Amino acid sequence: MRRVLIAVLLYLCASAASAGVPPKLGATVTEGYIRPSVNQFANSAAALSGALDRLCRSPDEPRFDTVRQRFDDVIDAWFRIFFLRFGPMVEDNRFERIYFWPDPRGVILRQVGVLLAKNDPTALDPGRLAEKSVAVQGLPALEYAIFGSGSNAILENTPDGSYRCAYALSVSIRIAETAAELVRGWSPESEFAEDFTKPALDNELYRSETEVAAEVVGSLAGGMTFLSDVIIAPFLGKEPEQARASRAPFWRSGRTIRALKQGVEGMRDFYGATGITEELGETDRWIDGALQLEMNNIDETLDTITMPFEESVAPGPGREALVYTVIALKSLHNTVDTRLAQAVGVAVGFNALDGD
Amino acid sequence: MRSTAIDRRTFLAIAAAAGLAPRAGFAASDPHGALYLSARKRGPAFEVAVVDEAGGEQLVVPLEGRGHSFAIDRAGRQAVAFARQPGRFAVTFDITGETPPQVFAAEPDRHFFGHGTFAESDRLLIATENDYDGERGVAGVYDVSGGMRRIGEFFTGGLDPHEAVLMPDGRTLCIANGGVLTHPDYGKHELNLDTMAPTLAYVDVSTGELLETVSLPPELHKLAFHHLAVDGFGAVWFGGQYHGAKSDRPPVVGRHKRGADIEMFTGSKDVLRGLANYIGAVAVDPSGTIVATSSPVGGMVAYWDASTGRSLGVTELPDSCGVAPGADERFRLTSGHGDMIEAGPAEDSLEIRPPGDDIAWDNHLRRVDAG
Repeated sequence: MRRVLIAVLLYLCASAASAGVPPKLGATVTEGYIRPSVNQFANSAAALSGALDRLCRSPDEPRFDTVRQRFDDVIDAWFRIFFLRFGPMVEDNRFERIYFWPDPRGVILRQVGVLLAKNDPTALDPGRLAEKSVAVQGLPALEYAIFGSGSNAILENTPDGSYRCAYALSVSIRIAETAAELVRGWSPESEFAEDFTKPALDNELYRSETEVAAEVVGSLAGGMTFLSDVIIAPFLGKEPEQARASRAPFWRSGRTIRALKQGVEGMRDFYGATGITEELGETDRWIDGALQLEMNNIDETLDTITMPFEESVAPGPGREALVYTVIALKSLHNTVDTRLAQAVGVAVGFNALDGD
Repeated sequence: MRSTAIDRRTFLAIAAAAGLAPRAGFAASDPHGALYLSARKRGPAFEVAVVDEAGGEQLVVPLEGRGHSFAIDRAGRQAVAFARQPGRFAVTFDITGETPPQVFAAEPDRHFFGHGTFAESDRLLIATENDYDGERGVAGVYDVSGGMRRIGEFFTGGLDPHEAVLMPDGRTLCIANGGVLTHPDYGKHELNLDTMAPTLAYVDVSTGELLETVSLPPELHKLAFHHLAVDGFGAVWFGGQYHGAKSDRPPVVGRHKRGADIEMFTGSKDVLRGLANYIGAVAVDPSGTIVATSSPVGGMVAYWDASTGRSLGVTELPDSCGVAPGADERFRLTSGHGDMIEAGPAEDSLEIRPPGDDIAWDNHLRRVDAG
């Protein structure tokens, strides 16, 4: 009798542990969100290179304007995938190559400044640029080249202007190449994607859908912390006197708020594509409601920040909206990290959660 | 003692708990037995617990935030609990609980990494610290008899100095420089993943002179050295934490002897996978011949023959992290789920005390043999 009881208990535990993990989670989220989003990033990066190529051949204002628009598209697409910080994104420092951030030491400006001052020809060859510091081959470096002080030289037929345009083109090609590596890394032929979409006991990386779910939940939690702690909090400052708009990513192009919005919407759509909503048990439904509500609230709050970016960090409605966003992102992170993780059966231990 | 906001917060926490008697033991305690120190979370509270061999609680010291590891004097009487990175408080306490705890704080532009050691016949306390604006690792030097007054610091030979142990000669310090650049404004976010360069450094503690630094080949530059223990042969064993892709499966356990190259050990494929690219703590058994390395991420503790580096087996324990010497060829293990067990390469394991009271044992467990 006792043995039977134990067997029944074990069965209950096992079924409870797997409740919340959608069947074929890895395949669903790869096909439903990751592949299309990574493709979109690669396409937009290639389009930006094309626009820069045309600008550099024959600089004029309309072409420069097209470059700025294509740059927007790349930023949008990047923030829809920045949180997929596992697998192809973390190999070969790809995340840092695309988006070297945070940069509290001002490494990007310093190193890009040296290249521009010297008109260093080696930076114009994307192959050789790839060998240089990751800080000079990604989106923040590109933004400085296109929008930073002195960028108007691109429209003048001067050696500095031509160099600057050629450097921007070289960086954009590097980004497009890295994006293409991401596409290959997530393609059905890649070993990683095979593991992730078909977890099995003899896999090296993912042995069950639960391990895939742990990666999915962890990437969402990590993305929320990155937006709140690594992007917003440092430029917002604890007190208004400590606010510094110039510590924000993409402030030169005025794309900071837009990038944040894409990040939040990307995570919301990624979460939606997992199918976790449908798998949550009756008692865990509230978690889904709380997540959806909070993500939508952040999205709407960011929409209210319509003033110039410098103004939005100073006391007033913009700053209040950003403070709310930080608090809401932290709360979201907690909900994902504890409640959602438990509901899906991937709660991480006290010591494993935050290593030291 | 300097008075700072941090001091006051911890002082209030200690004062609030002052009436707290040592908690009832789980079994009769042996006054001559070993004691174990660990930071822990109990409900919402962070504290230090001193427990006896039977798991009975001898002393509880409240902390203002999450603790990490300890420096313990040679007599096994006085200990210093350090805040976990990037915390700034430290608490000196009498292990027997006879005198009240004293609090001190890191310098305004430094934070602790959570580890330290007594040195120079217990006259000095050394703490690993972050000079975050200067972007270098330092060891803070404190005058023990002068109320833990900070009297200087020296460069640790790298960034991110984590655990520091005194070598058997009593004057050489071995420091694990993880190589990760962090700034408290960005929490523990790595700011130099592409260029991180961990090292093991040996420093003459009386002069601060850097005697030797060793590192791994470039393909392992993302393996942060964080935890150390010295075996019975005088070799340093270390556990690494890998900051590269999860699909990489680098060795994470290594041994170093002065003047030689680092040797890395992997065990079988299953052992290597079970360690999940992450070692949380390293300890050596009382005989000095067996090394234990814990991985909370993999929920596994792996044992190694100190003389050959051969893998001797594993204990599976979810969220296992604290590991300290037990009986010969045995270890005391703790977990974030509240387990405290004794185990080793021989397959049996013994529960010392059951999980409960909403206790999560934190990263490190230290053994103290009362003198």
